[in-house]
Amino acid sequence: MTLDRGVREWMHGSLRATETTGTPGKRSQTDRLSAPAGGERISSGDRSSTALSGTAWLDGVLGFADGTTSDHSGECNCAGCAAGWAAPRGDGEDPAPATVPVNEVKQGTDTSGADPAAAQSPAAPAAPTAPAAPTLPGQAPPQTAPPQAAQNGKQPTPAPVVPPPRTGTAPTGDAAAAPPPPPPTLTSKTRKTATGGADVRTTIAVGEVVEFTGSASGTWTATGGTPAAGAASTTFIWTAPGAPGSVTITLTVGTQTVTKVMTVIAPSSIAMVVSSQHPLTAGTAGVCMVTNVTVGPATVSFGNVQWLEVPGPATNVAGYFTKFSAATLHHNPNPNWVTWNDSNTGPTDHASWHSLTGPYTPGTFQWDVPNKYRVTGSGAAGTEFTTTHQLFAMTDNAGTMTVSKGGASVARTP
Amino acid sequence: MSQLDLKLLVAPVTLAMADRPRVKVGFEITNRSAAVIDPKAWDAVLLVNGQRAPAWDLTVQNGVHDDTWTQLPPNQTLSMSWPLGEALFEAPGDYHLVLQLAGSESKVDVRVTP
Repeated sequence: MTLDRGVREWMHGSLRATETTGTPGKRSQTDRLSAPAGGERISSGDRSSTALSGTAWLDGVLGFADGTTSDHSGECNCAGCAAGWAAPRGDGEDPAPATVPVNEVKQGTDTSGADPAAAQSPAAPAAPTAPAAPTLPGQAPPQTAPPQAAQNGKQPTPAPVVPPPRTGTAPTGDAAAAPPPPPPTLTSKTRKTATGGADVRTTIAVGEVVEFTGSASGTWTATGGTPAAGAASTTFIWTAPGAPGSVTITLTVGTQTVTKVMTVIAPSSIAMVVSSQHPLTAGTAGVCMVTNVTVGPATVSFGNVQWLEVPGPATNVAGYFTKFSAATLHHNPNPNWVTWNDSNTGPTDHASWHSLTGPYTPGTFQWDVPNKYRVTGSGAAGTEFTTTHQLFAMTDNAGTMTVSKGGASVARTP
Repeated sequence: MSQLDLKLLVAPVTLAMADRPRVKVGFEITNRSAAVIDPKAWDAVLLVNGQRAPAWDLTVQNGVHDDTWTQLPPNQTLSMSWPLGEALFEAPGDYHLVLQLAGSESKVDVRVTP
C-alpha cells in the first residue's frame, strides 16, 4: 500500500469515525458497546426483574443494595444499572470504555448463548439478544469474557480488551490526536528561460538545470542526472542527464513523499538564417553565406549543450567539381565543440567557397553533415541528433553559384 | 605594421605518404593590437609550391564558429588545424607552404617520403 493511499484511507476512515462516533479510530469498539444492549433490553420487556415499579427504583437511585427490595444482592441497584442505561455510550468520550465494567447488572444469566466470536469480531456484532445477557459482578463485558469461564460459573478475571483488527490505516495514540501534516508538494523552475517555453515545465533539455522547491524540508533523490540525492532542504538544484529520457525527482518529508517526473530531451533540429555575406572578388566565381544557427526545439534551453559537426566526404560530385580530388572536397569542419547560448543560438556557420577559377561549367557536390551534441563540460564523445545537408552548385557557364544549408540559401553571379 | 601575428602550423613536417591522414595543417592568429579585432581568418590564403590550395580555401571558408572568429580580444590567439595531409601532399616530394593574411606571411617546408 502506498503512502498516498494510506493517507487517503486514513482520512476517509477518520471522517467516517467522526461522523459516527466523534472519535477517530474507536468506531468499532463503541458500536459494540453502546446502543444494542440497553435499547434492546428496555424495549423488549423481557427483563421484568429489572423493571422499575413502586419504590423499588429508589434502591437503585440511593444505592441501597440490601437485597430486600430486589434479588440482586450485593450488587448495584441503581436504576441505570438495572435498566442497562449505564452501558458505555460509545460517544467517544470514554478513554477506555471496553475495560470499565459499567454495566453491572445483577441477574446472572448464562452467557453461553453469546457467540464469543461474534463478541470479539467487529465484523459480526452480537445478535440483539446476546448483548442483553447480564454478567456477574466484576465480570468483563460480554465481548471480552472468555466463554469457558462464563460457562463454568466462576467469576473470570476481567480480561484485557483485545482491540478488533483495524481495517483502515488510521493512526493510533498520539498520531490519532494530532493529524499528520499534509502531504508535501513540489514545484520546479528551470534556471534558464526557453524562448518557446515557460520556466515552469517538466520537459527540459539535456544538461538543463532545474531548481525544485518543496513545501517542507526533506531529502531528495533523482533517478538520473546530478546530483542523485540531496540532503535535507526545501530546495534541490539538479542538472538533467546528458541523454534523453524520464527522470523522477522525489522529495521525502518524514514518511511522506512527493514525486515529479521530468522529461529530458535532446536537440532534434538545426535551422539557419543568412546573416551576412563576405565581399568576393568581382569576375571570379564564388558564393558565401554566414548564417545564424538555432537548435531546436525552442521549448527547452540548450544553453548547457555543445555542438559539433562531423567530418565526411563529398557526395553527388558532378560537372565542374569533378576536377577536384576527393581529399580536396572532403568536409573538414571546426574540430572544436561550440556552445549554444541560453536562447539556443549563438554560433554562426560559414558556408562558402570564395574563389574558383574558370572555365566554368555546371556542377554540384554536397556534404551530408552529421551533428553531435553533448552537455558542456561532460567531455563526452557526443551523440548524433540530426544531419544537415550543404549543397554547392554551379548553375551556368558564367560561374553562377548557389550554396544552401539548414534552410538558408544564397546565389551569386561573378 | 600588422595588428596580428600569423603562424602556419604543420605537423609533422617530415612524413611518409602513409602518414598523410594524421598530418594537421592550420593557423595561429594573435591579436597584437590594443583593441578587439576581426582577424578575418576565412580570408587567409595558403600557397603550396606557389599555387593556391583549394582544399585550404574550402576548409577555412566553411564551418561553425564562435565569436573569436570575428571578435578576437587583445593578446588573444585564435588557432585551428585540420587533417589536410592527403589533400595538400598528393605525391612524395618537397613542399613549400606559405600562409598569407592581412599582409602577414608564415612559411613551412614539408618533406613527404614514399
